[in-house]
Amino acid sequence: MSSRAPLLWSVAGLLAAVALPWYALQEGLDSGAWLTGLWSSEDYASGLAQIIQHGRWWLAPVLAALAACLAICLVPTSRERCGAWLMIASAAGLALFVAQGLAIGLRGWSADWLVAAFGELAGRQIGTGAGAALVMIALLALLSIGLALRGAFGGDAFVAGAITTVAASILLFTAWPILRILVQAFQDGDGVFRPALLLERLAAEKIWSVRCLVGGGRCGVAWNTLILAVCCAAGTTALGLAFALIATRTGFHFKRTLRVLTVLPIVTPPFVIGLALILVFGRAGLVNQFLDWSMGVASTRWIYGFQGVLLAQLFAFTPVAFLVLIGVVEGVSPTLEEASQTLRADRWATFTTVSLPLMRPGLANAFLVGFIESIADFGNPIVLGGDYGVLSTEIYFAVVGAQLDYGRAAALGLLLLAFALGAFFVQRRVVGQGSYATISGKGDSGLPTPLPDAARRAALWVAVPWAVFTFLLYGFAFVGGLVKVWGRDYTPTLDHYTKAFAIERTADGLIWSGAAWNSFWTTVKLAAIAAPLTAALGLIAAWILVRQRFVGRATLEFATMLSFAVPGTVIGVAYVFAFNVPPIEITGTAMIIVLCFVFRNMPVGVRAGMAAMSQIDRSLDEASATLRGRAPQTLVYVVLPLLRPAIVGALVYGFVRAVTTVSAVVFLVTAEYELATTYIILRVINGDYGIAIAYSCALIVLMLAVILLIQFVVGERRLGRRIAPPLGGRA
Amino acid sequence: MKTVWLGAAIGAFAFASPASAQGVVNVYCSVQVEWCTLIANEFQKASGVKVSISQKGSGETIAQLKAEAQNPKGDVWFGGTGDPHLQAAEENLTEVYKSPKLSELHPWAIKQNTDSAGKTVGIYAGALGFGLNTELLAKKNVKAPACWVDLLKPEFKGEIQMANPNSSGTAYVAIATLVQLMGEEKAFDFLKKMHANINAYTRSGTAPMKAVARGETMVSISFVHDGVTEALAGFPVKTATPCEGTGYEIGSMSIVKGARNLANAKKFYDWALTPEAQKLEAQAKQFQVPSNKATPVPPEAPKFADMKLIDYDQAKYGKSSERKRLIARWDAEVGGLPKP
Amino acid sequence: MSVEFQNVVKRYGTAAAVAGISFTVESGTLVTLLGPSGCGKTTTLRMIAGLELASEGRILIAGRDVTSLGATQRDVSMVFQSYALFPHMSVLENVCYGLRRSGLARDEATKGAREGLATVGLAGYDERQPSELSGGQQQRVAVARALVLKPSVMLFDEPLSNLDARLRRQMREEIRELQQRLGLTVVYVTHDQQEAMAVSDRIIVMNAGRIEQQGSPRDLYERPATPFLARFMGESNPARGSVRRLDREQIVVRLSDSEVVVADSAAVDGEATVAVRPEAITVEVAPGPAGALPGTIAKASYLGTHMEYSIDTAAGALFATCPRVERPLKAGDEVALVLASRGVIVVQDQAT
Repeated sequence: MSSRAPLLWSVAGLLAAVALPWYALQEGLDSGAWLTGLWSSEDYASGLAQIIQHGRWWLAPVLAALAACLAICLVPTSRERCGAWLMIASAAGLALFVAQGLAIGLRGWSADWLVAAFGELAGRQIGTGAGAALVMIALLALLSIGLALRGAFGGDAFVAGAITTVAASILLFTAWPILRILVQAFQDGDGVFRPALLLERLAAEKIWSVRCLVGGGRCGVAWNTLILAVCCAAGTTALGLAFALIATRTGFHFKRTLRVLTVLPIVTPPFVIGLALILVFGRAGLVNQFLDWSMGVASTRWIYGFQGVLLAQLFAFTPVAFLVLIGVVEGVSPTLEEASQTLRADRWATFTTVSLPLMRPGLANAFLVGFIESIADFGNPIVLGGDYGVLSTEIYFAVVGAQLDYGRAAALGLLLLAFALGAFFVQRRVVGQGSYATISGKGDSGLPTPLPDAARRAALWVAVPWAVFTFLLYGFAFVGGLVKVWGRDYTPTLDHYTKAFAIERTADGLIWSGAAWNSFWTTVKLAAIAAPLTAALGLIAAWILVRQRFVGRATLEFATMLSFAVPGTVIGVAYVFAFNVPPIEITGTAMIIVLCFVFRNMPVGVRAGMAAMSQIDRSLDEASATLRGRAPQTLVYVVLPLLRPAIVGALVYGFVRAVTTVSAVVFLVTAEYELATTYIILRVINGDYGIAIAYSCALIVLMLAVILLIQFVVGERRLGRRIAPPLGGRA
Repeated sequence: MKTVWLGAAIGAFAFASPASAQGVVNVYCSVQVEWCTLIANEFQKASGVKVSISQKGSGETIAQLKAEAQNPKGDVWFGGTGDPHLQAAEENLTEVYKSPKLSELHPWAIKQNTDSAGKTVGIYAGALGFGLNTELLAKKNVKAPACWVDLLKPEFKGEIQMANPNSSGTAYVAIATLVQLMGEEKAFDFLKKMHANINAYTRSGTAPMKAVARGETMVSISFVHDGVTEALAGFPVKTATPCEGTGYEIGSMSIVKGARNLANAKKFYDWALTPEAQKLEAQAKQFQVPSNKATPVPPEAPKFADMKLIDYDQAKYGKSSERKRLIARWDAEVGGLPKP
Repeated sequence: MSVEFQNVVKRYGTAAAVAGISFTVESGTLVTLLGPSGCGKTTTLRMIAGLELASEGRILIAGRDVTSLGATQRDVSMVFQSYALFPHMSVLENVCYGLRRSGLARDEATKGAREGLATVGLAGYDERQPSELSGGQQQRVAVARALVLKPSVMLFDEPLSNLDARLRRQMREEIRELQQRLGLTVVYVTHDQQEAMAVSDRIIVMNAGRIEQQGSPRDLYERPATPFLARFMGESNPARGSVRRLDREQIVVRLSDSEVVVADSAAVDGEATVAVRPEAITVEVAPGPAGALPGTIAKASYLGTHMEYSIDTAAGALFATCPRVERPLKAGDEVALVLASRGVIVVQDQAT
């Protein structure tokens, strides 16, 4: 590999520079029209032809660097020296590539100071096409091979390649767009850079007012967001703990049902819980109508505002807390609890002094997840918030509302990011340095201590009604799709479904005449493309973060988490800003939607992968390496088979989130690539709750089917139990 | 490793293929989805030009136009309240075009064109008024409000909903109307007093009418044609226009600056101003007043003739500076008041 | 020469885990890296394996410079402390793994793997899962898996630390027997000096990232170069004493009032640190022979095969073992200690 690979990549890169159009084509590559114009047509010309025939001299250094790489490969020299030269040549090529891409745009020089320095430029350039993309990929590959030859990354070209790929793609599709939009926080309407503006924007009274405490009035959105997030995090953690305790520490009979309950909200499109709550608790909802009818209690509007949003978020995010906590609750070693009991502690004392403190990292983690989910939530506050504004909705309306103030949106986005990071550090603080690892290789022969009666009763009293109510809520939502108009006309009907999903049989065959089919198939197609990419990138990133040591590892880890903390709307606008103009011009294509899905949902894949990976003893990888298994083979034969549950998780999550994401893609969808969620929102905005709910139900069924399919295809880990040797100290 | 990059490369080939530029027009459509679809299909039939339609609210559309300003992807922006169209004109996001059809239009539609120096045109108009839930009125035994001042009556305490002007153009039209009707000081006095009766300032301009339809609130300040749609859907909704006079929105259409398919965009623009195109509105169950004088108006539609309309100064109140000032004042004096 | 280290340094950040070491491992020998935890022995082993790359210096395996090569490209194989058997593969698949990755066809790999399993006495266990085997059997699978690749060097990273005491003795004999029978070159890491002495041709003792001393087990035990080594290789009592040279080969070591003649060619006259092996002290009832060191028993323990005494003397507290168990002494008894010359070692002070 070490000798052939750089040669192949240099040749591939040069071929791409000669035989593929350098710039993006309006009609795409598949038409084939470019084949005849590779030299003569300015639109279709290859990189080489652009330089010689069309006067784009600035591409020449890039191709020269690539040619230099080829020359280096052909000259026999030592491994290290070859690596060093390759590294220098390819890095220079990449730098030149990026520089020309940023400096020369649609109208020649893209910045005034460049014009001032070099004078007007005759040429201009449009978005990067196949030729340019391949040249860049080849340069990246050569760079990583060069690094590996010099002994970096354990001297393994695969590892070097994986790291540069992950780093470059995250830089390009997460860091760059976010940076583009955040710079706006410092700019005024005309794009003039004024750092003081950020302070001005952040100090606004609308954000920080405390008038709800003193003197009446509304509090600032920052306080609203924080209060809501803290309540939501506390509530979901408590409820999640109750469910987890019931599932592991009681003889509760409906554990399977509990499992279903945890999956449901995850596959639920946004708005559904909010809509169902309105159907039940709204002023025209069942509860109010019943109270009005039976006792003459005047209907109230309490559901709109803080209470309603909190309720919806508790329903939506408790399952996530449960999933975080169940592993932790199961992980508390029974031996420790038994030890406590032999030390004269009764069950209650054991629970409060041993079990609960041992769960502290899990509780802190669940709290963090609840907090972040709450501050990033957009669907529930917009449906139920009334005039209770939070940062995510404020950002949305700063962009789409009458204000149209990107700077303010960016400043608020920065604030949101700060909250998320703050929560992250507080969590680190709480968990602290203490060791909580209770899963050891020594077989835990003890039995889990049953819950003390008081705790058991409390947990059941909270959890069971909650579970019942969740099912009721879904039941109502489901029925809502089967009646004419909820709240007015309860005549059962299938109209909503036929309107959305009609299939007509005609002489020409089947016609998919339902209004939803177009968006439905687009969604399925794009989600099906995005899910495996999300899972693959996420797991590879997790693998290098856990298993490889390299400079900048912590930075990369932080960067992978970045897009998770930034609210969807900000990401959406950032993508339009960053990718609407050359060098990367992909707005209006399906590609940008897929990329948005992948990079927005990847963090969860990374987290799941890292958690799973750290349970697999590192010596297994090393054993494979000493047994002649190269890194990719180790990945395929050893790591991936042991990671099956994480793969399933990442695939499912990648698919489900792609189907249910809304705020991030609002700005990216086009008529050609309309998505299910954006279609549903339009229905909700137009008040067609029936069809919106019918569509949502269909999506839930689809997602459940896909989850089962993924489970079936990827399968279980062949060995349920892993020999977990005790981790010996390493000299 | 190779496979990963190969995958990326194949991905790049498979998707980096924007739509064909031949015989296409890209329309950003800010009216209701059925209307958008009808327009796309009918224009395609009439002209043979393929229409690619993307439905978005007017706020989202102008956000997108601004983000795409350097490299526009849309050709025509069809529909949506006039203010954002005027704002787009002001920010130089749209193109000047004088359609040969201009002469066939109502004066308010032409005025929109002249106010914007030719950058936008009116395609329909809708008056501001009240949405009323008849069942709630009957149950509480309250007389329906007929004038702006009726909204201050104590029986409407907590029963009125309007949108928040920070996010909604509809609410801004309401404020601008009151300012033109009463003078600025008195208008803000009125808004402050009405605050006691408001149960929520919603984020979206159409939400209050939906709330009326579903019995979530008794009265809304909305565009009256939205009420007709709800009534036809079977909800107990009635509309009224205030006796003192009311303002209106002018749904507009603009050509995007730097449109890639300028010729087709103009073709679409001309066609959209004909009666044939404008009668599709009624077909989509929308009841604004169409701008071509010759377009037949359905009987359910609220008639401008039956209302007292003010001479709404689109040029002044459509300006961003004026708009920012009024909204800021509303924020400071009304929006932040304690809830009663 | 199978393995050669030339001034190898391994740094993590600024901390040096291995601070410049050089050594060689001859073909067909078993060399042990011995030292307390944190001394750098496992890092050294992993640098031979290619699991860590050296920060400085050169590493040669079978004469080839492998300094910048990864594990896959080196001709080594390793038995891990945790065995690292792939839990999702059967025993046979585990042993086949390395052969398949080296490019052998399935049939050949299976044949080689069966032979390897037979060598370690596990014929017929092909289809078992690793989790169904006992600790000793897992260990043997791990050895077979490394063995079948016929590497230039085989590495063992504390292979016995997960086994109970009895099995440990048995396995270390098996490993030594296998190594000698097949003429393998082995580098072996342990922190247990008994284990090291039992299996090794040569021992390299490491401390704080440096090589403290290397040599045969006998050399190291009988002639430890430093107080650390004297302490680490077997038990010893540190004491202060004085040295007087008799001739080129012999010195007199004086501890308090007691003197003993010791074979030593290096020590110089004057004060010195002396290590006294517990088995070199004969405990007699006081007053004992002339020149004996008087003392009082502080603690006595009965251990079946021998007695252990802690004795307070003028030269400090000494620890002694005594094979006579039939008439044990008890705490408080006055005793006289006779020192045998073979167990008294003058160790150079590190300062000199």
